[in-house]
Amino acid sequence: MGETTLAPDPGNIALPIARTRDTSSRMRTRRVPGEIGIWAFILTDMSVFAIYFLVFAYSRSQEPEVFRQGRLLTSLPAGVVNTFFMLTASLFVALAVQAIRQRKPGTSQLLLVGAGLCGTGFIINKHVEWSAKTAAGYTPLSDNFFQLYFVLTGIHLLHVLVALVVLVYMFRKVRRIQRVPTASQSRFIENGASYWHMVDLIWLGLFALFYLAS
Amino acid sequence: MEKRFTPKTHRLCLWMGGPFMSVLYILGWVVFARLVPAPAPNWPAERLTDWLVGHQIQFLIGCAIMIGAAGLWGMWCAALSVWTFKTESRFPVLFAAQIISVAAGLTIFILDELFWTVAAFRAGQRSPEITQAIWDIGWFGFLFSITVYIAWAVSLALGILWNPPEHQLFPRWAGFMTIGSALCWSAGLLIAFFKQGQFAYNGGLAMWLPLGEFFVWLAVMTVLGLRAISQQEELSRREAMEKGPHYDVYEPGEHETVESIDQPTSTEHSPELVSELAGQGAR
Repeated sequence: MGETTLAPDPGNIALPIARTRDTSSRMRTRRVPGEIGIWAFILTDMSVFAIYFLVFAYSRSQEPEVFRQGRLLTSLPAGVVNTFFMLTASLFVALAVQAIRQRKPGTSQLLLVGAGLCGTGFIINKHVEWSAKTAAGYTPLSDNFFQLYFVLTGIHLLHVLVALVVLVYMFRKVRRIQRVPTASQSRFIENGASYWHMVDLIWLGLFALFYLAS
Repeated sequence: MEKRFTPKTHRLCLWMGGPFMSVLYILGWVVFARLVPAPAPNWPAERLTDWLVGHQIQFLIGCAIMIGAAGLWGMWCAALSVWTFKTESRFPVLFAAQIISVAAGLTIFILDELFWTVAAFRAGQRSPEITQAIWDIGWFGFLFSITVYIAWAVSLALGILWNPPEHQLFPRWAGFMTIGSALCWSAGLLIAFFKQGQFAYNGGLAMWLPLGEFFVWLAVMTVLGLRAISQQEELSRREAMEKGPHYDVYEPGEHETVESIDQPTSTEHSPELVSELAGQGAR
């Protein structure tokens, strides 16, 4: 990634890992996407999920047979489809932010709609997957595997719902951009995009634990 | 109206209601009540009764220490909420939301220990099922009532993130971290559905993780609260140089009085403006 000199234009807030070049001191600073605060939120939430994953691993070591049986009952195709939706949504969001940097808010709006459709697809697929499980008699009360399966993927599902709401607000922000985003517009859009990527990353952890780990 | 800032009272509230409360509560919980590990909700009523009878006196001492600690907690909440009030001043909606939520939460917090104490009080002398029912109520108060704490934490976070920045003494990341913490605590709502496993009321993810995270969050916010007090001390001293001694820092024990402290300030509306606005509203 090449060096970029930050202009006073507030739209430059949206530049990727922009480096400022101070010609007198040659000091270079890196910036984070969005603002520091969203990373405090992401760190907190990711730490909580890291503990969820550790507790899952501990529970599995306590009841290996229950967890092995449970894993065999999860639907790998449904997990793969949802991984596809999550990764694609994340890609659309990343491209939407890039489109704003390229002064193409119209393209950005279309990409955000694409991300929203992927998020909706994830929810529909989750509904189908859960319905099949409950119809087959597996509920959160069945055993400790299904308790963790339903609750942890359920908490993630709530994150996806919040992400969709955030996406609506991102769309509204982008619609109001007049060629160059203001500092607050850029900050909000990058905060929202960072949150989306976190939701995506958490899903990858859940997918590995519930659908792949033997 | 007194305008001088008394950092000593703020620091006292923060230390007593935060670190001191935490040490006291953990002492009662771990050492005396022996709630590590906590009895599971799927224990038969007789087993729970035997467990309580087995260390009844220590358990009651533990509850007395815990309810004492819980009584201090409101001081800590006040020491943080006041900074939301500072950023809202004339329209303190988030401050009011915090005070209402904290009052409800603190009442329930005290009732938790009260129910556990009552459960142990006649354990072994009454039907084990009655002891179990009272015991369960304590746990549901402790974890299932999490919504009022979340309402309080979110009001605090929004006060940092959404109120005008010119009077903020907390960094924005503290607001984001608080929202993340509130999400973690929300797992307490799941105890209604499980009698065993990680999301039961003795489970790692419904109880231990939110409880542990709460104390980590409390420690971070205490440090930031102490920094806010130091910042306000500096601001008050500067303000005193500009506006006079009635804006200065006050140290209890000095017994200094400042004359004419009840001066109207630029933030207060003149009576003429108030009556003019009232007239417009009437029209």
